[in-house]
Amino acid sequence: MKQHRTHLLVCAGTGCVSCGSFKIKEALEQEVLKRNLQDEVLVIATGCNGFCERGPILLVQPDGVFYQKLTVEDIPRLVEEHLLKGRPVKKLMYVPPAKKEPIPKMKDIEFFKHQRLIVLRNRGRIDPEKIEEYIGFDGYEAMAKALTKMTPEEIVAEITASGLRGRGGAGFPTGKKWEACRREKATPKYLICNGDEGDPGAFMDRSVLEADPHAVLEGMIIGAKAIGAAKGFIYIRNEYPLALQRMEIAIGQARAYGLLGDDILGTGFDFDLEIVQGAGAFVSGEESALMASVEGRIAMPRQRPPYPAQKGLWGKPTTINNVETWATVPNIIRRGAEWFAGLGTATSKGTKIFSLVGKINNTGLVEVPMGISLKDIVYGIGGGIPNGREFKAVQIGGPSGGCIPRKLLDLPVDYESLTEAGAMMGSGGMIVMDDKTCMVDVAKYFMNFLRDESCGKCVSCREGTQRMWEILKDITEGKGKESDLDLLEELAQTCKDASMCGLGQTAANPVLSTLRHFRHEYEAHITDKRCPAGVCKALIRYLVIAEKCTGCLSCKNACPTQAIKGTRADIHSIDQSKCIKCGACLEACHFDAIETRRDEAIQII
Amino acid sequence: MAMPAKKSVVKKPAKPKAAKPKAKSAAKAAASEPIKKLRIQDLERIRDKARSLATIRNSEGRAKVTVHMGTCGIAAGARDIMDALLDEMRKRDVNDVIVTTSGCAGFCNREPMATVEIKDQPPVKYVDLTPDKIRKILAEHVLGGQIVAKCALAVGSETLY
Amino acid sequence: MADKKQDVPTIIRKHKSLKKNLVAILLDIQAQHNYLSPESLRVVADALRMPLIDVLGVATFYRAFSLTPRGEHTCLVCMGTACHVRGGPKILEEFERRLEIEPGQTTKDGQVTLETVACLGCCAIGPVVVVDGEYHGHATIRRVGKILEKYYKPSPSDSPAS
Repeated sequence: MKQHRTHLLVCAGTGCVSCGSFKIKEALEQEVLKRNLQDEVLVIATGCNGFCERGPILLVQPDGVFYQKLTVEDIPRLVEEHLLKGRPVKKLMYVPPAKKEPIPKMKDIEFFKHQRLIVLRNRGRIDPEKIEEYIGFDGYEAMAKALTKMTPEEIVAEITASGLRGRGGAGFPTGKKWEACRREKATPKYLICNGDEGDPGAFMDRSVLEADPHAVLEGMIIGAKAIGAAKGFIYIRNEYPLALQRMEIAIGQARAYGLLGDDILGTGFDFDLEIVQGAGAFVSGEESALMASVEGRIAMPRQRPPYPAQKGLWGKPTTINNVETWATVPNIIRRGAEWFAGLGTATSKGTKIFSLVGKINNTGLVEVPMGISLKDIVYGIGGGIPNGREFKAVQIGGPSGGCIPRKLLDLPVDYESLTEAGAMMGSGGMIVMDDKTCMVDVAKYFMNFLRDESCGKCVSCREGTQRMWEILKDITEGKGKESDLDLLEELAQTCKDASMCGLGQTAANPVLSTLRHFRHEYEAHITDKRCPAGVCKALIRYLVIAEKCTGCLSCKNACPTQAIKGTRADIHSIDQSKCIKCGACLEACHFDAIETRRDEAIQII
Repeated sequence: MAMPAKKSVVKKPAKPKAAKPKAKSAAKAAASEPIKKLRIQDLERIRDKARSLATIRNSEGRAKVTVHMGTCGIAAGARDIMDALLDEMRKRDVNDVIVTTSGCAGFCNREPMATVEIKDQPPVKYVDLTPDKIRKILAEHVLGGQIVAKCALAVGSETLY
Repeated sequence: MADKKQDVPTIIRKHKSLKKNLVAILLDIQAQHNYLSPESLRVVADALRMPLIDVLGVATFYRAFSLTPRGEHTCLVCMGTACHVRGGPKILEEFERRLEIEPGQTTKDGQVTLETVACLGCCAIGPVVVVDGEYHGHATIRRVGKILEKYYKPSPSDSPAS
């Protein structure tokens, strides 16, 4: 391996790629060549760095300097100043919200400072398409240990002792799951990696698959030895093309190196893997539905028990874990159960990856020890709410989860506390909402999602989600009735009690948790016909604030229906009969002179 | 800059003599190594070879050498110093030393300059460098732990910012 | 992808004519032929020795499949939670208004199909729109027109008011 003094690590996760990071990489390579630095400086595309908001991202190592929001035009100067003259370019560094001074080093940036990277240890550090780099950072060491020095019983015991719980949603102890499958006599046994990350707002699995695919493979090989499986499947949703591509490359390399296939590392152990591509169905994330999908059938869940450990894929014992869980396994085997169990809380061990998105300054992917408070995540790592607005709630756990209000900000993030508060860990999506987010609208959003994604097997879920959605829709349109809230609660309870799989059983959570913590917002919609957040179209109208309007014509030009009147330097006004409430004027105004009024006087639709 | 503990702070000057042709061919071999099924010991081998990755990407070297590359430094031949340093490191198969650049150190008439920082020791500034001198500094100070007194200006700090 | 279109039997053979690869076969046909025609479903059913109804069941269950031809360009608007709270629905409305179609439909000239997706996993740059695999982050109502322009030239007759 040729030595270079400096490595330029360009983030090539989906987020940065869509901001043009491959063009940045190309420009860097050209500039390095132009300056004759190609023997000293190496340009590498890494997986997702996590701070997606700031893409395209470049990390210069060993200096540790973090550049963000790069454009191709920035590159010549960056190369000359930093790489040639040793003067990092301040203009391209990250400046925290409401601060003036840039922070040069990645490790000093709040977003990164409080994270504890275990599963994401290789993110932004290795080229995910080069197996040598993964091996260079202790990759496949745990696998070698498991295959040569440990019995299946010892592997399972180690995982059990670590306290690892499934990272995909319910938090079932991984060791227990493995043990049940290991004890089964029937053969063949199968292994599945659930990469059908369906929760909207969660993308840690995508990131792991893109940034460190070999970690998932290594975890699965260890798992295969533990339960005695010879064949595994990695199910990846088709909405993640880059993840599919990187995993394919990884499997190809692992096979070529003899880390998959027959006689792995010469230990006599055989195991091989196949990628199965999803076809777009949220319910396929449910384990029995996922197995049906792997078999090529409709992803419809079935009654459990029997659990997959007894009767799984093609009726054979099967262990199924999600991407993050598999990627955690090598770390536990390499560093020991005790080390892992030393992180986190009494019942929730280790770290968890959260995707911090929505109305928050530092959006991206964060890995933190379990038990950290919500406040530390939202304000410490996330840097608070943009535009000086007020934090209202954080939605955790996707469509199965719930909204946690401001007063519970000190809540420690672990499986039990979240469930207690009416949310759930789920896969770890955290969507931050501010005072401009309407909670009834959020509930309606999730119900719309669920009624669409319900597979239709159970009446309670198929019809329940539909009816709940209709009621919520009525409420947001100002047609809600006093009795609706009771009806919602009853429907929610039925859906929970009578549905067979996790989707139906938790479908009511978004409604129940918003009802529990934000009942007053429902009441405002129903009684006062008013949307306090100014979101629900039927209950608001767009108005020009005369004192702020400068008559710049921006809104008038943006309006698609010519509803805005006024000439240059003249205060504009909106013709309500023509306004379609599309929000284009609000977006176009540079002076905050457009507001959404929500007083109860409005009856016009 | 963080330089967390590596077990052996002062290491024997890595693989003397024979290093020259061997290191080159090894580097070449790594690039076009035919893929074969690995054995346990091969993992170790790949890991060793990739050690420089860890040094650079974790920013964890046992030593750091900063070559001052201001306009004055470049004019005085800092590029040659850098080239010589990197060349010598390759020859000696050194993979746990960080090399970086910085701007003008404010002492332009003694350029080219370089600063050597070894973990837990105060940084040492070298002045009036030549390619031969930097090779000697790498061998004796960075790898051997002995300050090359006749080239040293002072013991003092130098940071990137 | 259009230049090297494989016919349905070739695709089926590529997937070893295995029942378990049904989803993969249909994905492949969808990708190469732009939709699943009734004939192609019949060919698949025969080749895999499955009842047509089971093949149709799978074809209608998953979001990735379309039984009608998709437009030349596919415009995916992300409706994930993060995009939702950042104004995704308004972006979708703007697409609907400009294209005069609803999600799942194709413009009359067969050029653009408008689709929604539950989440693309790049929430940090939301609202997100993907046209023909190209990602457009931080979408605004105003940028919708610009995004469309790149791919779509409506003929003057059916050009929406703007």
